[in-house]
Amino acid sequence: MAEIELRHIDKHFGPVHVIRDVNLTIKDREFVVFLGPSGCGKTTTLRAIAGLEEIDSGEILLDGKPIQNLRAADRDIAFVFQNYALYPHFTVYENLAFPLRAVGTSAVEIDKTVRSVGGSLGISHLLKMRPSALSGGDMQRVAIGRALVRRPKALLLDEPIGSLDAKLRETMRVELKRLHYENGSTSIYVTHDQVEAMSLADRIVVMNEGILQQ
Amino acid sequence: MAVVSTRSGRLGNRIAIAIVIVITLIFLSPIYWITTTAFKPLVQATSVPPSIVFEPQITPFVKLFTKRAQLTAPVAPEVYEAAPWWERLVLDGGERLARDGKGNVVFSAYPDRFINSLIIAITSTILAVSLGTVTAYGFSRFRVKGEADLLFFILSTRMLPPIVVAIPMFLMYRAVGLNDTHIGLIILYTAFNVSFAVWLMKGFMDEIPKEYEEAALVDGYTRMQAFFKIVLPEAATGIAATAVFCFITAWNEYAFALILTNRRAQTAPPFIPSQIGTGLQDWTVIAAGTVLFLIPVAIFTFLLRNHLLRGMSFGAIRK
Ligand SMILES: Nc1ncnc2c1ncn2[C@@H]1O[C@H](COP(=O)(O)OP(=O)(O)O)[C@@H](O)[C@H]1O
Ligand SMILES: [Mg+2]
Repeated sequence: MAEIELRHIDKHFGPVHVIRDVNLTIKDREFVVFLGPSGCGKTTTLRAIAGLEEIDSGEILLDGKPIQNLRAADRDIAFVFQNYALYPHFTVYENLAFPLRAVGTSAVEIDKTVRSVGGSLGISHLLKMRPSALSGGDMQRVAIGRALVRRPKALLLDEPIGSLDAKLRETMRVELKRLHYENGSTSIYVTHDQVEAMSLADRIVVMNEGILQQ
Repeated sequence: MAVVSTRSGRLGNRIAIAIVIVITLIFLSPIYWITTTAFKPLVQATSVPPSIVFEPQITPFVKLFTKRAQLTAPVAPEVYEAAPWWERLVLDGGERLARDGKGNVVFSAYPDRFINSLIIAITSTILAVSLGTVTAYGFSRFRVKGEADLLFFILSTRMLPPIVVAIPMFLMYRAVGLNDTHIGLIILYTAFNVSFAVWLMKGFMDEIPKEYEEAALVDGYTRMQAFFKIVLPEAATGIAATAVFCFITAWNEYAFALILTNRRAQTAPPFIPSQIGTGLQDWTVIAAGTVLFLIPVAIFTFLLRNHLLRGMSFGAIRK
């Protein structure tokens, strides 16, 4: 249940104008793909929505409420990083449980949720392992699992499968599509790969030099 | 060709190992020397050439912990018989133990000085490492105005040799009443170590990808929580290395301790040589004091060895 609206977003890094007057509405349950060459501001836009980057001007609305001044922790938006950023000193189980512990979920509830998410992603057998022992595909599944455990209003994915090999990318695309059907969370997916964009998206938004071109 | 190359590889390996062993022995030889001296009879301690074979004894350690006086006359046999074994060791050496009015043995100041060393080194290490870690995190993650200048300034506090500032420090400390206090040395060693702690920890902090904390931020944690739950465990290696470094510096510091303390807060380094005494120079007691003094650093480093050797676990970040 979430609709994201971007109104007149602008962002500079020093003299570089990274995001130029971006306007966009992403409907509830929609899977939108940002497609564009690297360096065009996709990651920055995503980080701005997540609350990891401040914007110079404009509004970000989540279900009609402005959230641009909220901390990342209070936005209820999950983020899958380009490099996964799994916590190396935690097991897979602890990685998945971490977002739940932030909101004081009971131990029983955490255990139930972690196991069910682990099951739906096919990583139940990995729960006791450390991230460093995982393959690229499994790391990716854990990263997505960590984003999904707390049922966020929106899911942001930054080139999550960009560095996997072609065959695995194919598998993961199918899995991502399935997860989106099952969870139905509003998703923004960033990639520079057209094929990936075509096969995943409900709608593709083309970005170039910080401008949306549709 | 392959055979030849593995053979030469093995030979190279062996030479490398041999060199490492030789270097290790060279580094260990002073420790061997001081340790054996601590167990030698007095006459053999300074004999030339040094005696390799000797009957080990613990008299130097008994002497280290007690106060003694030269015997002016031989002890009466019944006194000798009544004395415990460790007192006899001292009597054998031509000295008697100092006793207080009630006849109890008077202990030397060594245990007190040793405890002073522990209190001061541990406290200043904890302070320097905590301050250094937090400061390094700030420098590493946030844009700080004049960052390079500030970092240079922090390091520049270490550029003067301690002895240059020792006299001004003494005068200042006397003015504010910090002379011969634990707090005084703790402040000094913390200030001394914090600059290196900041630099060392900044290197380690820069190595920790910022995505870990950002992941924690979107996972619902504040930056403070992210720092304690994610950054600190990741920085454990760096913290261990920095702690060992700071502890060794504070533990071994001599110049300031000599000038700024004399009784209450004196640490072991200036105390040990002060026991050389007048008249007869008893190197075995010095050696005994030094050997015990070496132990805490060895234990501390040993306890942290896993952290020191482990290296960072970077497996979870896709490079
Ligand atoms: N923290 C930053 N400081 C300065 N410039 C940045 C920063 N992050 C990104 N940029 C610049 O912003 C532009 C857009 O980057 P990014 O959003 O990562 O592009 P994309 O994800 O589309 O490849 C690039 O030119 C990049 O160099
Ligand atoms: Mg990017």
